[in-house]
Amino acid sequence: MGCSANSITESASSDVINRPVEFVDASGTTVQLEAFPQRIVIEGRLTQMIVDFYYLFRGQDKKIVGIENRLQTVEGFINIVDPHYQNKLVIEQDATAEQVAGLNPDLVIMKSALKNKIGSTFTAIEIPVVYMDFENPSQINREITNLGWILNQPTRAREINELFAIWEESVTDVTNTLRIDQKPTILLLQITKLGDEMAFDVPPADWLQTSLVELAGGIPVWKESIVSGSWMKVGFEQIAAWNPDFIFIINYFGNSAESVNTIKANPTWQGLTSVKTDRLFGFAGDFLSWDQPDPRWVLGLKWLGNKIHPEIIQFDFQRDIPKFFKEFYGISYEEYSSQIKPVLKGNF
Amino acid sequence: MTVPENPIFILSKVFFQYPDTTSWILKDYSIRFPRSSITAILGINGSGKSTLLKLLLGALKPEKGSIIFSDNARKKHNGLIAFLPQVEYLAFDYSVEEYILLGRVPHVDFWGTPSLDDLSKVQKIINELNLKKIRNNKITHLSGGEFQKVRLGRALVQEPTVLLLDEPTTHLDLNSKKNILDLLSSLKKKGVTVILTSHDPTEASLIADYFVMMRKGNLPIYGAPEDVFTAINLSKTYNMKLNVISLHEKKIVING
Amino acid sequence: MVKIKNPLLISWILLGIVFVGSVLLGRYPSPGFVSPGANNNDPLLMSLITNLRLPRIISAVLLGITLSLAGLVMQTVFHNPLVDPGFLGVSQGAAFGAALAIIFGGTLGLLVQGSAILFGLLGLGLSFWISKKIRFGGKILKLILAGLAVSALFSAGVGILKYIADPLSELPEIVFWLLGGLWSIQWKDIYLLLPVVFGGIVFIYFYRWRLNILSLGEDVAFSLGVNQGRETTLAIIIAVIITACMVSISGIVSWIGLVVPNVARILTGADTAKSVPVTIALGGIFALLCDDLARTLLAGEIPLSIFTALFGAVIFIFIISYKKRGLE
Repeated sequence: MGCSANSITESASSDVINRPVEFVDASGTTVQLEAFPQRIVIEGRLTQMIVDFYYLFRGQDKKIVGIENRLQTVEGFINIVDPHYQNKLVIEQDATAEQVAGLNPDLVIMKSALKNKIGSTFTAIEIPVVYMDFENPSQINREITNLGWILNQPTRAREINELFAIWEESVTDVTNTLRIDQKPTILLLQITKLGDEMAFDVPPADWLQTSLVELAGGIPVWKESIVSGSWMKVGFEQIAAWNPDFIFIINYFGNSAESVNTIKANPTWQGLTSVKTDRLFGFAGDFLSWDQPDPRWVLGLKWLGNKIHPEIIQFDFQRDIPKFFKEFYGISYEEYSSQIKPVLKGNF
Repeated sequence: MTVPENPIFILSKVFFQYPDTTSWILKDYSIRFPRSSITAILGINGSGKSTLLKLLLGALKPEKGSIIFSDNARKKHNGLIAFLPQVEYLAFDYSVEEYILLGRVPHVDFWGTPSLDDLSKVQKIINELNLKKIRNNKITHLSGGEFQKVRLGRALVQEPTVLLLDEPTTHLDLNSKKNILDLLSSLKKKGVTVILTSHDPTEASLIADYFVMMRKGNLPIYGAPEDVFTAINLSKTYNMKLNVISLHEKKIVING
Repeated sequence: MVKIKNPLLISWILLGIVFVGSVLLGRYPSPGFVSPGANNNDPLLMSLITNLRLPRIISAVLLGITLSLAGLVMQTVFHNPLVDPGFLGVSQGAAFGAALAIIFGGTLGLLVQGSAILFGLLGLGLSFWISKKIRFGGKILKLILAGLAVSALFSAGVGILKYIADPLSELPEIVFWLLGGLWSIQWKDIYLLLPVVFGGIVFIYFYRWRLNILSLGEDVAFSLGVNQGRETTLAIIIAVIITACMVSISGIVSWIGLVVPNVARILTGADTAKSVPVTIALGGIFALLCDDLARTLLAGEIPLSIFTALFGAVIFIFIISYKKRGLE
């Protein structure tokens, strides 16, 4: 089980705030809540990441009655802070509003992209929906604030946003002072394998992954030429034409460090500058890779910044990672050592 | 009745019906077809004329009985029997030359293309059939008579022993009809056996040396013209009262 | 027929030119052509050309030749110039096999290719089997109807597989495969393919004159000593095998097999002895040009079918409006 009683019962005191609560959500709708929801459902794509942000608020786990169990659901992480987590994964993938209605929810949280599809089917049967996107730092800030209103935890919301700001600024305070010529060229590649063929995709210009590179003081070489709304395949010739100073490999389905070893062994890649100067790295992660719209993005930012500018940005493997999990989730060092540290991936 | 010596085809007690039908089209046919002559097969529509041709060709097999092709015990089919069906469906617009050349298939290797010898034989036929002017025209753009000659050319360039034609002059104008009939007559001298079906007995009698008259489900009437080309037989075959009159040594069939 | 003097020579010279041009074209060091002498100073360029460009260009040419020849054979055999080589359930079958392997397969090396070939041939087999059950129509019509049904069946299967596929990892792979692309070709793929595909191409090349007979009537073919049923089946099977092999590594690439044989026929006339060699050259040129665009136009890879469909459709419109006399 590996949980400690402290994690659950520790809860910030409820503040007295005016009702009804009113805020603007990710879809631009003004939301009014008569009462604080007690039966919350989390649905739609990327539920794992919404859940990871939700649990930044301590002691709010009992309010969740259902989470959609999608293929990306990560076993083992939330269990650390909530031993009853498994019991909440009761909603099947792509369940309809009708099926979820059986849980009697008084609020559903999902991505704004789903508003016209499944979102509207909930509002049609008068189940309120709040839309949340966590895809860049300012969206994260807003959604945390809104979660604070929903959970009656506005103080904790402020705390969380401050934490994010501190972590973010520890990197951007430095990188904002850099001139253009001090910023190396960076290429982020997601690797997928089909049989033994390797394929490489770059992220769209407006996704968090691209922003990470810029915030970490690098220049994303692909940003100008990519015209896609999602991951876009690039051939090796294009990679060679860019020939960036650094290459970071993201692997969502395995260990990026292994991918890096495979690539290094390939003679064609050995002609690239980044391989020759040993600046080819597997993107770090634990249960989730740290490049994604998840609280871990600040870990990703620090790690990335340190790799790109090791002289001016620090990343202490032994200290920074457990610090993140303690400050954001209240996970103790012992819990971190036994449950999270073993699953760390990438090049540190 | 004269029995042909050294016949080209010997049918013995041949029975044939198409699958999923209940009655025989050919019932107990035992005929010998004469070699190096012209045989005309007469009968109304549905009497089985085309079927008989296809049986001779070998494309159809009899249910009972046997058909022996004298030159070749039907083990290998190598183009000795040429065939002109009644209608030919053309999917592609070959030129006259290209189309006639296809008749050389029996003489070309499986993996090969036509040789100079094949090409010159095609030219020879084109000249003989007076097709030189149209040899580059597309076969989809020929008149009825021209196309018929072209098809004949394709059949002849095969160098066949037997030429089977299904209603070769139907739909042709008088001029073309004569053309074709003259050409068929000339083949006899080269030793080719010609067997054709016709729905015009008068026309058939201009060139035929032998007749086979078919009535569905009945025994055929066959033999030399002087023996079988009679009013009675023709009336039986066509199910109507007919008469035969002679004019300038030619026979004419008219309504009785 | 369009009168070009010696279309055979011209089309093959053109193929040579496009081939050489393609070797010099790419995204490295910058989008566009490199001069032939640039190799000497840049070992990476040499490596790119030998290890990436050459195998890809060669497989593009092979792809074009294979699909075009298969299309020509099918069109001849079915007496129909509007036929695509994959229509007897082969394309959709291969798509189904590939999608199946992508979802349930995992990391086994040749699984996707093998599965595509297997199901492509299965599609053909099913089409033949079902055609025998049909009670009406001639042999050709029966095959066409059966092919339609089998294609529809596998297409529905692909739809189901797309639905259950993981939208982050598997679905994009499937979609990319369905649109075709040569972005992952290496030399080893060519070694594997080559015997079968090359064998099929050689067969069709030497068979090119006799192929004409398969478009004639059944009885006429019989009289010429040709077992039309058997040779038709053989021709179809060979066309399908090489198509399935090619499709297994390139994904579904449409329109090449439909359009190129028609263009060749416009230049050479109906005689397949003449149209086969020209089809080979034109098919290679068409596929190569499309793939050049797919890998060079933008920084990211563009699926091949987008170009083959675009240009194929435009050419097709030209053909059908130009051809005053069509088919009978």
